[in-house]
Amino acid sequence: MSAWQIKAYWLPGGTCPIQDWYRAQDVQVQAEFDATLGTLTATVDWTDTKSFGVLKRDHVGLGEIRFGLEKPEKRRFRPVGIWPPIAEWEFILLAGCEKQRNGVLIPDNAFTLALEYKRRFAEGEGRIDDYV
Amino acid sequence: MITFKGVWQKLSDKQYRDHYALSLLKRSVAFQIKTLRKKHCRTQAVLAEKSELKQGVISRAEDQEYGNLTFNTVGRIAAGLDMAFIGKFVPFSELIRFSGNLSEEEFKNILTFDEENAAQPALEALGLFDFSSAEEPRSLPIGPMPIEVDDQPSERDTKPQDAADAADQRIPPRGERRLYNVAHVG
Repeated sequence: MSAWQIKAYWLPGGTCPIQDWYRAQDVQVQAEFDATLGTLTATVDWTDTKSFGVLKRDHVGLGEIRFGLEKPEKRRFRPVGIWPPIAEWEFILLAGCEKQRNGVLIPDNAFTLALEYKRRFAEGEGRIDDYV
Repeated sequence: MITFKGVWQKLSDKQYRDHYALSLLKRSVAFQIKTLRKKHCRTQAVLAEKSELKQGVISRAEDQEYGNLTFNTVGRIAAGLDMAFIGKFVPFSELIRFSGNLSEEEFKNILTFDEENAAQPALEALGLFDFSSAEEPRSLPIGPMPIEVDDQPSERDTKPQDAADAADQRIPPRGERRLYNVAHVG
């Protein structure tokens, strides 16, 4: 049985940024993300796995899921959620992005937006639901 | 909640399921190695020594993004852990179940050969291990799964056992069952 539950943040208007991002990716990215989530949810300590990283400095309050593709070209993806968790064993996904080799994010404001979603959720805006 | 049906629908795309299966294979093996290493060896250096590999090889083996693990390396790590590693082809429905049930606890409960061997007398007394039988031994369940025990007395329970009887012993036929958690055995 999985140790963690994955949730997604939904905006008041009824859109889910992480789901929108996921659906915009090609199937290889989707498959890799799903497999990464599969093993992450089974992992007890996320701070002891390369599949996850706690963000610092300007992006404190977020944790990024790390996965990538090697073919046809090397690509890195960094969907983010709230960290540390608000509820025990529950990770809330906020937004998704790709990270280029020069460190630039696609979209470039992904982490800033994620922090905004986190703030809005803390103020009672929007809702969370099971991530599917 | 991620449902079986939800994942199954995604798998209808050939490209998706090919990539998902491959990714899960790489990640789940690395996940298992790390879980087992932490349980039985604590450090990568200890497992490396037991596996007659370099510590860097263990580090790569535990990296879910590393995709070039060889059968030889996995086999040597299994030997270092004193366990067996089996690979088999399965239908995608089983892959979904495997993914959904993945947990560190499951692999922490896997016994090394010595642990299993130490538990063998108790398991044999329960009728689960019979090295003298011509039949295949029943599989030992992995993890905290219930195991079935035949409660009905058999000839084995009433007759004194000796070397002559040993060759004729059979696992008792199934009758009334009780369930034991394998963790309580031995």
